[in-house]
Parts: sequence; structure tokens; C-alpha cells
Amino acid sequence: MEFNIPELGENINSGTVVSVKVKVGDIVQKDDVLFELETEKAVLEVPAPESSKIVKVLIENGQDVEVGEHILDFEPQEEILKEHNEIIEKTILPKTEVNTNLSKTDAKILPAASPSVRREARNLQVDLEKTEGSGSHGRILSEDLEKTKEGGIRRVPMSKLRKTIARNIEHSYFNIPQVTQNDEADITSMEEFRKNSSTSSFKISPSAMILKVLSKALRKFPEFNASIDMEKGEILYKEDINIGVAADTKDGLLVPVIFHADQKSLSEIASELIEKSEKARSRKLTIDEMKGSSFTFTNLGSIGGSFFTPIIPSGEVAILGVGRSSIKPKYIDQAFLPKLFLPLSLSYDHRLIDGAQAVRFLRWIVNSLENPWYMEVDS
Amino acid sequence: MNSLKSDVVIIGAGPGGYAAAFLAADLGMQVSIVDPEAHPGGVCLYRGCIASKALLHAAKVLSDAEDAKQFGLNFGNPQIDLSKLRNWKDDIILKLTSGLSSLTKSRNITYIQGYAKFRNSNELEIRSVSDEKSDDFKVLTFQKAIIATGSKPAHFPYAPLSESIMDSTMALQIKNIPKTLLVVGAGYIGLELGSVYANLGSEVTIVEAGDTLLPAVDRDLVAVFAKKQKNLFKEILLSVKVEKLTQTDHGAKAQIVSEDGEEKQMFFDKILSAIGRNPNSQFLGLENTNVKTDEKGFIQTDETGKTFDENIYAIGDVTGEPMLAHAASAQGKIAAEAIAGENVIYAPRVVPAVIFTDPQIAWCGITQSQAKTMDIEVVRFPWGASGRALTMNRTDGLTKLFIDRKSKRILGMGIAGPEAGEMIAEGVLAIEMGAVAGDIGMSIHAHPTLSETVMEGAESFFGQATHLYRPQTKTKPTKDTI
Repeated sequence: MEFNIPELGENINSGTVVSVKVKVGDIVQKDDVLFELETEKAVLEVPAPESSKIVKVLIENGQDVEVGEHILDFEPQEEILKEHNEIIEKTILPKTEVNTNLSKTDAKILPAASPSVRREARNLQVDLEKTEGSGSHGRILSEDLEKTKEGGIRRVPMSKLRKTIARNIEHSYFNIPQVTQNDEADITSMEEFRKNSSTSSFKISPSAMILKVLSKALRKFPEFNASIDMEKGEILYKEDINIGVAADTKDGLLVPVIFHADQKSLSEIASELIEKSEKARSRKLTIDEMKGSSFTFTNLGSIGGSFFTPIIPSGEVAILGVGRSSIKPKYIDQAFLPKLFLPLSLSYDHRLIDGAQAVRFLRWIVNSLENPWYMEVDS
Repeated sequence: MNSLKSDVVIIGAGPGGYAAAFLAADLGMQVSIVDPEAHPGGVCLYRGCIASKALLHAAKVLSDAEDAKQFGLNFGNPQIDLSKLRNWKDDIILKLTSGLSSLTKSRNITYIQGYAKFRNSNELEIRSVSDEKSDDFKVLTFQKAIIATGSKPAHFPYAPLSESIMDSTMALQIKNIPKTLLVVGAGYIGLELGSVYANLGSEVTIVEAGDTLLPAVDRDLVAVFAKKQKNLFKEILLSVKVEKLTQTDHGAKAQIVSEDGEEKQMFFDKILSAIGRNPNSQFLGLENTNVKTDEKGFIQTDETGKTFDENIYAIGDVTGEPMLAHAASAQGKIAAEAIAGENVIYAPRVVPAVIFTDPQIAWCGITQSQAKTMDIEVVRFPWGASGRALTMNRTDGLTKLFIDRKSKRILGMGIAGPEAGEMIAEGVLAIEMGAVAGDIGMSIHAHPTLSETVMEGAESFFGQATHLYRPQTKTKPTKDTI
């Protein structure tokens, strides 16, 4: 029986095979993982539809595949028992095609490199086809391999995720006229409250506090929770406040979404953030957990830095970024007092949002962070 | 039942097997070799390369003596002491094989004389050579095995070997010199052994099913041989099919059918069948392992020599073309290194081939038919322009180079003439190193030697060979542009 790539989710038509877990002759149980597929945002584990024996594997790691593509052949379990003794026949595949025509060279002209250099290249995993030779007539020398390996340029194909990020950022940057507004919030009392409310087993992060305020701000300023349809000349105001939270993972940027953030309590938001960022790091987020955001929040404070210019994701009209808070003097009652300040950077789509409104929005957030009663009063 | 143990066992001690064994031992592994002969050497030494080359040398001395009449040296008719010739050849073989034995011992390799058969992917059973019927056998347990069992002459199923119907193995024993000899097959084995017998005095007829001598070799190189030796053989019958070979009271009979369907019976004192070689993969118990063979019986491997069985490697003739000793040695070393865990593959740019007839024919890299599809210039340097060839009274030779017009890289070389086999090494090195025509042209070659033909061949690519005038054309590249 043929096994084809199943439907993976809305708008996901293709992916890259990252880890084939089965080989010809393997017996798999229903729901055993056959292979992992890296799609635009998530790594999906593709399970076996039923207990069966793998009789043909048509994919390999790194291969791009499309939904519906025929990738495996399997036999249901009943048939396995019948021919169990014949399994050995089909179990092992050679690594490469057998070359039976050794006396002839390929018609292709191969890079000029001596046998010892070719062996060295193999050990250094340097592709001679992509190596510039510094010897006469482009002959590749031993030194060239080191250069390619260490100091020079190494060409590596982008991962599916990196390609997706690159495409999205490029699109946003060149299609959205964006301005960044900076402001600072005195979060001395917020931090005091946050620390007092956190226990050793349950921590409320600064992000959770900011998200709580942000969700209220988006309710108050609906034009920041919107998108623009330039073709039709319409503004799409979004009813739900779903905040994407940028997460830094070793593979690249992932953005899980806190849905209905405005309807969630501070502790709910805090625990959801912990759970989602853990899933992001282990790349266990589902596609559904990463789509549908109406506004994006990014906190680089744990790494450091101050103000910056975050780029608005396409389909949204603003993004709020925060940097690391620091203690600065604040002039209160004839004296400078040490206070903790949080740098905030709001990038907004200037087509929809005027500068004054952006300042108002950001000021509202700052005021609310400084004094949470503010949002209850001015809502 | 005795039991033995080894990290690596090599089955077959030919040039592939012993090269693999020696390197495996040098890399620190505990190694055993199993082979039916008393010493390592295999077909190459016992029944192939070395034995035939000894006889071809003798044949060359005879023909050189004949040629010498042209410049005033007359030796009279040669007296051939066949048993002395045979002993001389056998002594060479003994010297080389016992030399290999002592190299085996000094590397602490266990040499087991016997027939090996796989019980499974970790055990061999080894039976004695002297008592094949005995049920007694030893079991050898191994981590990794390398099959290097080589090949054997192919036989006509309808022509059992006999006193007068020989294969190449029997022909090399030169029991006598038949007055008339039919050689079936005009490949390199047929032509080499046919030459030996013809020079020793047999009247040799050659039949070939194909329409040409040496079908795999470039025509211009074959032509050099054909021209020089047009009188060596009584007759060369092409496009002729051998229907049947039968032993008769006084020799052997061949029933042949020519291209136009004409049937004919021919009688000879002896017939030599040289129709190809088959792999020795049949009686190894491969069915007890995961090793797989193709429909011709050649064992299938990857580029390291590993078969479908994780523990078993195979190298040399038993894995298929080119069935050359030097390719087997190279493959054997790669397999040993791969077993030692090194990241290596067998990936030569070229494997040279040499036919040891007179003139010798040697080539490497691309051939005429491959060159057709590429932007290649074929430069030919006829030996008539070589001083050295003249002093040897051998101006019949030809050296040619295949040069890529764009990169000027040497991609192939072909030589026909005495010492072609020695000279081809320069072509192999040039191609492996990625040399351009200028590299060879500007490397000083000793004068007067035949190797100058290679240098001047490269120079003539630029229209600048010292001893060969080729009118310059506008399209001719100059050295300045290389």
C-alpha cells in the first residue's frame, strides 16, 4: 500500500524531511513516528496509519516533499506474518548505486584536485565543486580546503524555517511604511509586586505583566488590533485579541500565540507563556498554536539591549518590543530617586496610525505599567 | 571441530585480497587470509598477469630477434627448450608467491590454506584443500570479512575442457606447442596468449563473434597492433560464431557459423577458449548471509566495498568490471580503511588498462567514443617523429592525448607501442592531478625516450611540437592563453 504525505494543516502544502525514522523492512505499530517533517513553522511527527511493515522508502533526509506525495510503501500486518521468513530479502539497501563501469571516467569534467586533496576534502566535508582553487588553472590545493572550511565562505542551504522567516521579514520591511516610537516606563512598583507575587514554583515573568496591560490597551485602541486591505481600501478590526509572543529558539524565531489575552488572568497568561515557550524551544508547537495573532510582542530584555526597531509582521499593524530595564534617577519631590525603567519600542504602520495616536497608545501602556489603576480608570 | 577467531578475514589472496590484508594488519587489526593455494598470489600470480607476462616477454625476445635481421643481426632459428621456459616462469611465480608468504608472516597475518564458506554473517567454515570430501572443517568467527575471490575463465557450456580444449589457465601451463591453434575470442586474453603461441611457433587462427579485435579499445590504437602483427596470425575471422567445440582423436574440432550463415568445420591441434571471465561467487555460501549478487553473479557493493551485509565487504573481479588486478588492490585498501573506520571511498578518476601484446596497447581516462560528445581535442603524436622509436626500429607506435579545449585539462591518454604499459602511468598521474596540456609540455622529459612523445603530444595541442610540424590555425590556442 502507498503512504502519501497527509494534510498537514491550513496553507501548509510542503515541507522538508528532517529525520526518517524507518527503513525498509522495519515493522511499525500504529502511531509510531515514521519521519519528522519541517514545515514552515513547526516540526511535525508523521505517524504510521496502522501497524505495518515498511517495504519501500522513497524519501531521504533533506528532501522537500509536498502534501499528497507518495513517500512510502507499506504492508499491513496480516500479510507480514505470511512472508516473515522472506524479510531478509528486502531488509538492506546499499548506500550508493553500484558502479560497475570503473574504467570509464564520467563525461563530466571534475574539479582539478589531486587524489590526496580529494581524500582530505572528503574528511573535511568540503565540496570540491564549490571550492575555489588557488593553484594554476584553478587547481584545488590543500590550503584551499582549509580556507573554505575555516575563514572563507561556506555555502549552506537555508532551513525551511529560516527561509520562511527571511521571506516574511523581507515582505514586511518593504511593504509596510513603519515608524518606531520609543518610551520608558517606571516599573519599580510593578517589579516589586511581581517579585512578591511569584513563588519558587510559580514565577510571573515581566512579559506576562506587560501582556496583561497590552491586551487592555488593544481593547481601548482597536486600530492597533487590526489589519489593512489596501486593495479594497478597508480596515479590518479584529474582535479577538490574540497576541503573538516572539520566542528565541536555537533554530530561529518562533511566535506562539496567546489567544484571547484580554480575557485571561495574569497567572493564566504567566503559565501559558511558560508552557508555550518551552514548546517553542523543543519545536513541539503545532501550526495552530502559531497562527492567528492580531498583534505581536517581543521581549529582548532577558538578553539585554535597550530601544530597537521591531518589524511589524505582515497582516498586523503594530508590534511592541521591550528591552532590558535599568535603574535610572527620577526627579521626585526635589530629589533624584533610583527607579527601574523599562525601554519600550512600538513600531506602527503609518498608513493606518498617525504619530499622535501611536504616542497616546504607548503612553497609555506606560501609564498602566506604572500604575495599574490607570487602566481601570481610563478604559 | 577447531574454532578460530579474527577481526578481519579475507577470502582469496589475490592482489586485491593480500593488499587488503596487509593494510588491515598495518592498521592494527588481527587478520586472517583463507585461500586454496599454498601461498598468496591468486590468479594474477599463479594463472594470470605474471605467468602470462613472463611468456609474453619470451615471445617478445623471439620477435625482436626476428626483427633484428633488418639491421644485420642474424641469430638463426631459435631453439626452444619448453621445459626450461616453463620452469623459468614457474620460478618467477614461486619467488613472488613465497615472497608474499613471508610478508604475510611478518605482519602476523594467519594464512589458512583451504576453501571458505559462510555459515552466517559472522562465521566461516573452512575445509581442507587436500581432502575435499572430508566432512571435517574449522569454524572461523570474524567481525568483518572481505570477499576477494576473483574470477575464473568462462567456458562454453557445450565444450568441456580436455587435453586439446584449453582455457587460459591451461594455456599458461604450455604443456606443448601445438602446430595449429584456434583462439576463440579476440579480447586481450585471446590476443596475448595467441601472440605467445604464435611466437613460439604455432599457426594461430583467431575467431571472434564481434566485428572487431579488442572491441573496447580505440580503433587507431588497435590499428597499430593490427598493422604490426598482420602476419603473426594465420587468420583472424571476425563476426564468426562458434557453435560447438569437440575433442577429436588428434586434436579438436570447431563448428563455426559465419555472418552470412555459412557453416564450417575446422580442425586444430588445440583450441583455446578465451571468451571472458566469470565471478567466483557461487560456492561461498552467500545464501547464508545478506550479500547479494547481480544476474551475472557479481557481488553488489557500495563505494567502500560494503555489500548488502553489514559485516561483509567485496572487492576486485568478484564485484565486476574492470576485472583488473590494480583496481582490485586499490579497492582492497579502501575496504580495509573503511573497516578501520576511516571515511574513504573508492573513487579513482581513471583506472589504466594495458594489453601486453606487441605492440602494447595502454589507455586511461576517456576514449574516442566518449570524446565525441565533449569539446575535446584529440592530439596524436606518431612515433615516426620520435628519435627513440627509430633507434628501437619501432616507428609504428602512436601516442595520443585527449585535451579539453576549454580548460586544457588532460582527460585521457592512449598509447600503442613497446613500453606503452610503462608510459601510461604519466597519463594517470596527469589526470588524477588535474594537469593541463601546458603542465606536460613544460615538464622536461628525458631525451631520447619514448616518453617524449607524451610531452610533444601535449605541445602539439598548441601547434608547437618540436619534432612534428602542424600548420598553425587561427583557432589553435597559444601557451600565453593557458
